[in-house]
Amino acid sequence: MKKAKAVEIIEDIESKFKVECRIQGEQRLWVKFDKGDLMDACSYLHSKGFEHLSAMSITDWVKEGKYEVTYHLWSYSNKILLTLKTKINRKNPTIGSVDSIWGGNAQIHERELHEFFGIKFEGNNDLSPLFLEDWDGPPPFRKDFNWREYVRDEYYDKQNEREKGYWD
Amino acid sequence: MINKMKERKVTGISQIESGPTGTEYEMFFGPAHPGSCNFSVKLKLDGERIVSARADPGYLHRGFEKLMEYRTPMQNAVLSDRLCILESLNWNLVHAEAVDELMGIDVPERAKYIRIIMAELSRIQSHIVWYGVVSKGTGFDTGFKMAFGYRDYILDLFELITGGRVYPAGYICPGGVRKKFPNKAKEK
Repeated sequence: MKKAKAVEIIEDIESKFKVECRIQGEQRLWVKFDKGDLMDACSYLHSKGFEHLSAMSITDWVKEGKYEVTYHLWSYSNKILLTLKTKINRKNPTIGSVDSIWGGNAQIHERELHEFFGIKFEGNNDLSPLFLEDWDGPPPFRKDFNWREYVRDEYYDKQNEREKGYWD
Repeated sequence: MINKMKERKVTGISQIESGPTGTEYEMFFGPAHPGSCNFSVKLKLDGERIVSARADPGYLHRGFEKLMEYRTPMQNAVLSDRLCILESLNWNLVHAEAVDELMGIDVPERAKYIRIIMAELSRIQSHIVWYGVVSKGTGFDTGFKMAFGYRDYILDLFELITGGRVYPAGYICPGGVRKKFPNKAKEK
Protein backbone atom coordinates (compact mmCIF):
# COMPACT_ATOMS: atom_id res chain seq x y z
CA MET A 1 0.00 0.00 0.00
CA LYS A 2 2.76 2.40 0.98
CA LYS A 3 4.83 1.41 -2.02
CA ALA A 4 2.02 2.60 -4.19
CA LYS A 5 2.07 5.93 -2.40
CA ALA A 6 5.79 6.40 -3.11
CA VAL A 7 5.29 5.57 -6.79
CA GLU A 8 2.34 7.94 -6.90
CA ILE A 9 4.42 10.80 -5.52
CA ILE A 10 7.27 10.16 -7.94
CA GLU A 11 4.91 10.03 -10.92
CA ASP A 12 3.31 13.24 -9.73
CA ILE A 13 6.66 15.03 -9.54
CA GLU A 14 7.84 13.64 -12.87
CA SER A 15 4.78 14.96 -14.63
CA LYS A 16 5.31 18.49 -13.27
CA PHE A 17 9.08 18.99 -13.34
CA LYS A 18 12.11 17.86 -15.27
CA VAL A 19 13.59 15.48 -12.73
CA GLU A 20 15.52 12.27 -12.30
CA CYS A 21 14.00 9.95 -9.70
CA ARG A 22 14.96 6.80 -7.89
CA ILE A 23 12.91 4.69 -5.50
CA GLN A 24 15.12 2.94 -3.00
CA GLY A 25 12.48 1.63 -0.68
CA GLU A 26 8.89 2.22 0.25
CA GLN A 27 9.89 5.06 2.55
CA ARG A 28 12.94 6.38 0.72
CA LEU A 29 12.96 8.46 -2.44
CA TRP A 30 15.68 10.33 -4.31
CA VAL A 31 14.99 13.19 -6.67
CA LYS A 32 17.47 15.16 -8.75
CA PHE A 33 16.29 18.39 -10.31
CA ASP A 34 17.45 21.60 -11.98
CA LYS A 35 18.47 24.64 -10.00
CA GLY A 36 15.86 26.75 -11.79
CA ASP A 37 12.99 24.61 -10.51
CA LEU A 38 14.04 24.91 -6.88
CA MET A 39 11.38 27.22 -5.50
CA ASP A 40 8.55 25.67 -7.50
CA ALA A 41 9.55 22.11 -6.65
CA CYS A 42 10.02 22.89 -2.96
CA SER A 43 6.75 24.70 -2.52
CA TYR A 44 4.97 21.97 -4.47
CA LEU A 45 6.46 19.24 -2.27
CA HIS A 46 5.65 21.25 0.83
CA SER A 47 2.02 21.45 -0.20
CA LYS A 48 2.10 17.67 -0.85
CA GLY A 49 2.85 16.92 2.80
CA PHE A 50 6.62 17.23 3.05
CA GLU A 51 6.37 19.61 5.95
CA HIS A 52 9.62 18.88 7.68
CA LEU A 53 13.02 19.86 6.33
CA SER A 54 15.12 17.57 8.47
CA ALA A 55 18.54 18.46 7.09
CA MET A 56 20.44 20.27 4.40
CA SER A 57 23.90 19.33 3.27
CA ILE A 58 26.49 19.99 0.60
CA THR A 59 28.66 17.61 -1.37
CA ASP A 60 31.74 19.21 -2.85
CA TRP A 61 32.63 17.76 -6.28
CA VAL A 62 35.97 19.46 -6.77
CA LYS A 63 36.96 17.83 -10.07
CA GLU A 64 33.59 18.50 -11.62
CA GLY A 65 33.55 22.08 -10.33
CA LYS A 66 30.11 21.70 -8.73
CA TYR A 67 28.45 21.81 -5.35
CA GLU A 68 25.57 19.45 -4.77
CA VAL A 69 22.97 20.91 -2.45
CA THR A 70 20.84 18.28 -0.73
CA TYR A 71 17.52 18.74 1.03
CA HIS A 72 16.17 15.93 3.18
CA LEU A 73 12.41 16.16 3.47
CA TRP A 74 10.14 14.15 5.72
CA SER A 75 6.46 13.70 5.31
CA TYR A 76 4.54 13.13 8.52
CA SER A 77 1.39 12.01 6.78
CA ASN A 78 2.97 9.49 4.36
CA LYS A 79 6.06 8.58 6.43
CA ILE A 80 8.38 9.06 3.48
CA LEU A 81 11.89 10.48 3.44
CA LEU A 82 12.62 12.30 0.21
CA THR A 83 16.02 13.59 -0.78
CA LEU A 84 16.15 16.49 -3.19
CA LYS A 85 19.41 17.15 -4.95
CA THR A 86 20.60 19.87 -7.24
CA LYS A 87 23.98 20.88 -8.59
CA ILE A 88 25.23 24.43 -8.66
CA ASN A 89 28.34 26.06 -10.01
CA ARG A 90 31.29 26.01 -7.68
CA LYS A 91 32.81 29.31 -8.75
CA ASN A 92 29.77 31.42 -8.14
CA PRO A 93 27.62 29.41 -5.77
CA THR A 94 24.23 31.05 -5.47
CA ILE A 95 20.89 29.39 -4.91
CA GLY A 96 17.49 30.56 -3.79
CA SER A 97 16.62 30.37 -0.13
CA VAL A 98 13.86 28.04 1.04
CA ASP A 99 13.48 30.21 4.11
CA SER A 100 10.03 31.33 2.96
CA ILE A 101 8.81 27.72 2.68
CA TRP A 102 10.21 25.98 5.75
CA GLY A 103 10.90 29.04 7.93
CA GLY A 104 13.48 29.16 10.69
CA ASN A 105 14.26 25.50 10.22
CA ALA A 106 15.72 26.17 6.78
CA GLN A 107 17.24 29.43 7.84
CA ILE A 108 19.64 27.94 10.36
CA HIS A 109 20.79 25.22 7.94
CA GLU A 110 21.44 27.80 5.27
CA ARG A 111 23.42 29.89 7.73
CA GLU A 112 25.65 26.91 8.48
CA LEU A 113 26.21 26.08 4.82
CA HIS A 114 26.91 29.71 3.99
CA GLU A 115 29.55 29.78 6.67
CA PHE A 116 31.26 26.49 5.84
CA PHE A 117 31.01 26.50 2.03
CA GLY A 118 30.49 30.15 1.16
CA ILE A 119 27.22 29.55 -0.66
CA LYS A 120 24.96 32.54 -1.10
CA PHE A 121 21.31 31.90 -0.36
CA GLU A 122 19.33 34.60 -2.07
CA GLY A 123 16.43 35.74 0.06
CA ASN A 124 17.80 34.63 3.41
CA ASN A 125 18.00 37.75 5.52
CA ASP A 126 20.35 36.45 8.20
CA LEU A 127 23.56 34.76 7.07
CA SER A 128 25.69 35.91 9.98
CA PRO A 129 28.40 33.59 11.38
CA LEU A 130 27.03 30.68 13.36
CA PHE A 131 29.88 28.45 14.54
CA LEU A 132 33.03 30.36 13.76
CA GLU A 133 34.36 33.34 15.59
CA ASP A 134 36.69 35.98 14.12
CA TRP A 135 37.23 33.89 11.01
CA ASP A 136 38.69 35.64 7.98
CA GLY A 137 40.07 32.63 6.05
CA PRO A 138 38.33 30.84 3.18
CA PRO A 139 35.22 28.75 3.93
CA PRO A 140 36.73 25.88 5.91
CA PHE A 141 34.76 22.85 4.69
CA ARG A 142 35.63 23.17 1.03
CA LYS A 143 37.56 20.19 -0.24
CA ASP A 144 40.40 22.35 -1.52
CA PHE A 145 40.90 24.05 1.82
CA ASN A 146 43.96 22.51 3.44
CA TRP A 147 43.59 23.13 7.14
CA ARG A 148 47.05 21.79 7.98
CA GLU A 149 48.64 24.44 5.79
CA TYR A 150 46.31 27.12 7.04
CA VAL A 151 47.04 26.38 10.70
CA ARG A 152 50.77 26.29 10.03
CA ASP A 153 50.80 29.63 8.25
CA GLU A 154 48.42 31.30 10.63
CA TYR A 155 49.58 30.13 14.03
CA TYR A 156 53.23 29.08 13.76
CA ASP A 157 56.31 31.21 13.33
CA LYS A 158 58.96 30.11 10.84
CA GLN A 159 61.69 32.08 12.59
CA ASN A 160 60.91 30.53 15.95
CA GLU A 161 63.38 27.83 17.02
CA ARG A 162 60.69 25.48 18.36
CA GLU A 163 58.05 25.98 15.69
CA LYS A 164 60.07 25.93 12.48
CA GLY A 165 59.85 22.13 12.39
CA TYR A 166 56.34 22.45 10.99
CA TRP A 167 57.79 23.59 7.66
CA ASP A 168 60.17 20.65 7.18
CA MET B 1 1.09 21.82 15.91
CA ILE B 2 3.25 22.04 12.80
CA ASN B 3 1.48 25.19 11.68
CA LYS B 4 2.15 26.77 15.04
CA MET B 5 5.83 25.91 14.74
CA LYS B 6 5.92 27.54 11.36
CA GLU B 7 4.51 30.80 12.67
CA ARG B 8 7.32 31.23 15.16
CA LYS B 9 10.02 33.41 13.67
CA VAL B 10 13.70 33.14 14.41
CA THR B 11 15.00 36.37 15.80
CA GLY B 12 17.61 38.15 13.76
CA ILE B 13 20.89 39.37 15.20
CA SER B 14 20.04 43.02 14.64
CA GLN B 15 17.14 42.82 17.04
CA ILE B 16 19.25 41.53 19.88
CA GLU B 17 22.31 43.59 19.33
CA SER B 18 20.41 46.83 19.46
CA GLY B 19 21.17 46.64 23.18
CA PRO B 20 19.13 46.67 26.34
CA THR B 21 16.52 49.39 26.70
CA GLY B 22 14.43 50.28 29.71
CA THR B 23 13.78 47.23 31.84
CA GLU B 24 15.39 44.77 29.42
CA TYR B 25 18.81 43.31 29.90
CA GLU B 26 21.08 40.78 28.25
CA MET B 27 22.31 37.57 29.80
CA PHE B 28 24.55 34.72 28.68
CA PHE B 29 23.31 31.20 29.34
CA GLY B 30 26.31 28.96 28.84
CA PRO B 31 28.75 27.83 27.51
CA ALA B 32 30.10 26.95 30.97
CA HIS B 33 26.70 26.47 32.60
CA PRO B 34 26.25 22.78 33.57
CA GLY B 35 22.78 22.62 32.05
CA SER B 36 23.70 24.17 28.73
CA CYS B 37 25.95 21.37 27.42
CA ASN B 38 28.65 23.59 25.86
CA PHE B 39 25.96 25.51 24.08
CA SER B 40 25.71 29.23 24.56
CA VAL B 41 22.48 31.18 24.34
CA LYS B 42 22.44 34.92 24.44
CA LEU B 43 19.20 35.91 26.10
CA LYS B 44 17.44 39.20 26.25
CA LEU B 45 15.21 39.37 29.27
CA ASP B 46 12.50 41.65 30.49
CA GLY B 47 12.34 40.84 34.17
CA GLU B 48 12.10 37.07 34.08
CA ARG B 49 10.47 36.88 30.68
CA ILE B 50 12.62 35.96 27.69
CA VAL B 51 12.18 38.53 24.97
CA SER B 52 14.56 36.96 22.50
CA ALA B 53 17.24 34.31 22.36
CA ARG B 54 20.22 33.87 20.08
CA ALA B 55 22.11 30.58 19.94
CA ASP B 56 25.86 30.24 19.61
CA PRO B 57 26.52 26.52 19.06
CA GLY B 58 30.16 26.85 18.04
CA TYR B 59 31.73 25.79 21.32
CA LEU B 60 31.52 22.08 20.60
CA HIS B 61 31.81 22.04 16.83
CA ARG B 62 34.84 19.89 16.17
CA GLY B 63 34.58 19.62 12.40
CA PHE B 64 34.27 15.83 12.08
CA GLU B 65 33.34 16.16 8.43
CA LYS B 66 36.69 17.70 7.66
CA LEU B 67 38.63 15.31 9.87
CA MET B 68 37.05 12.31 8.17
CA GLU B 69 38.07 13.54 4.73
CA TYR B 70 41.70 12.81 5.59
CA ARG B 71 41.18 9.31 6.97
CA THR B 72 40.34 5.79 5.85
CA PRO B 73 36.99 4.17 6.79
CA MET B 74 38.65 2.03 9.46
CA GLN B 75 40.19 5.10 11.08
CA ASN B 76 36.87 6.89 10.80
CA ALA B 77 35.20 4.07 12.75
CA VAL B 78 37.23 5.17 15.76
CA LEU B 79 36.42 8.78 15.07
CA SER B 80 32.71 8.16 14.63
CA ASP B 81 32.09 7.16 18.24
CA ARG B 82 33.44 10.49 19.41
CA LEU B 83 30.42 12.18 17.86
CA CYS B 84 28.30 11.65 20.92
CA ILE B 85 29.13 10.56 24.45
CA LEU B 86 25.87 8.79 25.16
CA GLU B 87 25.21 6.82 21.98
CA SER B 88 28.73 6.19 20.75
CA LEU B 89 27.99 2.62 19.65
CA ASN B 90 24.98 3.73 17.67
CA TRP B 91 27.10 6.23 15.80
CA ASN B 92 29.56 3.43 15.12
CA LEU B 93 26.73 1.36 13.72
CA VAL B 94 25.46 4.13 11.46
CA HIS B 95 28.92 4.79 10.07
CA ALA B 96 29.68 1.12 9.56
CA GLU B 97 26.36 0.46 7.79
CA ALA B 98 26.89 3.43 5.48
CA VAL B 99 30.35 2.19 4.49
CA ASP B 100 29.07 -1.39 4.08
CA GLU B 101 26.36 -0.22 1.75
CA LEU B 102 28.70 1.97 -0.30
CA MET B 103 31.30 -0.74 -0.71
CA GLY B 104 28.85 -3.61 -1.04
CA ILE B 105 30.24 -5.55 1.91
CA ASP B 106 28.28 -8.57 3.10
CA VAL B 107 28.29 -8.59 6.91
CA PRO B 108 28.30 -12.02 8.63
CA GLU B 109 25.16 -13.06 10.48
CA ARG B 110 26.94 -13.31 13.81
CA ALA B 111 28.38 -9.79 13.51
CA LYS B 112 24.88 -8.49 12.78
CA TYR B 113 23.59 -9.99 16.03
CA ILE B 114 26.50 -8.57 18.00
CA ARG B 115 25.92 -5.16 16.46
CA ILE B 116 22.27 -5.16 17.44
CA ILE B 117 22.99 -6.30 21.00
CA MET B 118 25.58 -3.58 21.47
CA ALA B 119 23.43 -0.88 19.91
CA GLU B 120 20.49 -1.83 22.12
CA LEU B 121 22.63 -1.79 25.26
CA SER B 122 23.93 1.61 24.23
CA ARG B 123 20.40 2.86 23.74
CA ILE B 124 19.30 1.57 27.13
CA GLN B 125 22.15 3.26 28.96
CA SER B 126 21.44 6.46 27.08
CA HIS B 127 17.83 6.38 28.29
CA ILE B 128 19.01 5.77 31.84
CA VAL B 129 21.18 8.87 31.59
CA TRP B 130 18.17 10.80 30.35
CA TYR B 131 16.27 9.69 33.45
CA GLY B 132 19.18 10.70 35.68
CA VAL B 133 19.54 14.13 34.15
CA VAL B 134 15.83 14.83 34.35
CA SER B 135 15.86 13.79 38.03
CA LYS B 136 18.77 16.11 38.65
CA GLY B 137 17.02 18.93 36.86
CA THR B 138 13.91 18.55 38.94
CA GLY B 139 15.86 18.40 42.19
CA PHE B 140 15.57 14.64 42.77
CA ASP B 141 19.24 13.91 43.40
CA THR B 142 18.71 10.34 44.60
CA GLY B 143 17.26 9.44 41.23
CA PHE B 144 20.30 10.89 39.54
CA LYS B 145 22.68 8.78 41.61
CA MET B 146 20.58 5.64 41.14
CA ALA B 147 20.40 6.09 37.38
CA PHE B 148 24.11 6.57 37.02
CA GLY B 149 24.71 3.63 39.31
CA TYR B 150 22.62 1.35 37.09
CA ARG B 151 24.26 2.75 33.98
CA ASP B 152 27.60 1.64 35.36
CA TYR B 153 26.60 -2.04 35.05
CA ILE B 154 26.23 -1.55 31.31
CA LEU B 155 29.44 0.45 31.10
CA ASP B 156 31.24 -2.42 32.83
CA LEU B 157 29.99 -4.72 30.10
CA PHE B 158 31.20 -2.30 27.45
CA GLU B 159 34.60 -2.21 29.08
CA LEU B 160 34.80 -5.98 29.06
CA ILE B 161 33.69 -6.34 25.47
CA THR B 162 35.15 -3.33 23.69
CA GLY B 163 37.88 -2.09 26.01
CA GLY B 164 36.35 1.33 26.45
CA ARG B 165 33.64 2.37 28.88
CA VAL B 166 32.22 5.36 27.07
CA TYR B 167 34.05 5.31 23.74
CA PRO B 168 34.23 1.77 22.32
CA ALA B 169 37.15 2.67 20.01
CA GLY B 170 35.39 1.75 16.80
CA TYR B 171 34.05 -1.60 18.03
CA ILE B 172 31.43 -1.74 15.30
CA CYS B 173 33.52 -1.20 12.21
CA PRO B 174 32.90 -1.61 8.47
CA GLY B 175 32.61 -5.31 7.67
CA GLY B 176 31.45 -6.44 11.11
CA VAL B 177 32.84 -5.95 14.58
CA ARG B 178 36.38 -5.84 15.93
CA LYS B 179 36.24 -8.82 18.30
CA LYS B 180 33.86 -11.56 19.37
CA PHE B 181 32.31 -11.48 22.83
CA PRO B 182 34.74 -12.65 25.50
CA ASN B 183 33.63 -15.68 27.55
CA LYS B 184 33.35 -13.57 30.67
CA ALA B 185 30.63 -11.45 29.10
CA LYS B 186 28.22 -14.40 29.40
CA GLU B 187 28.72 -14.56 33.16
CA LYS B 188 28.10 -10.84 33.54
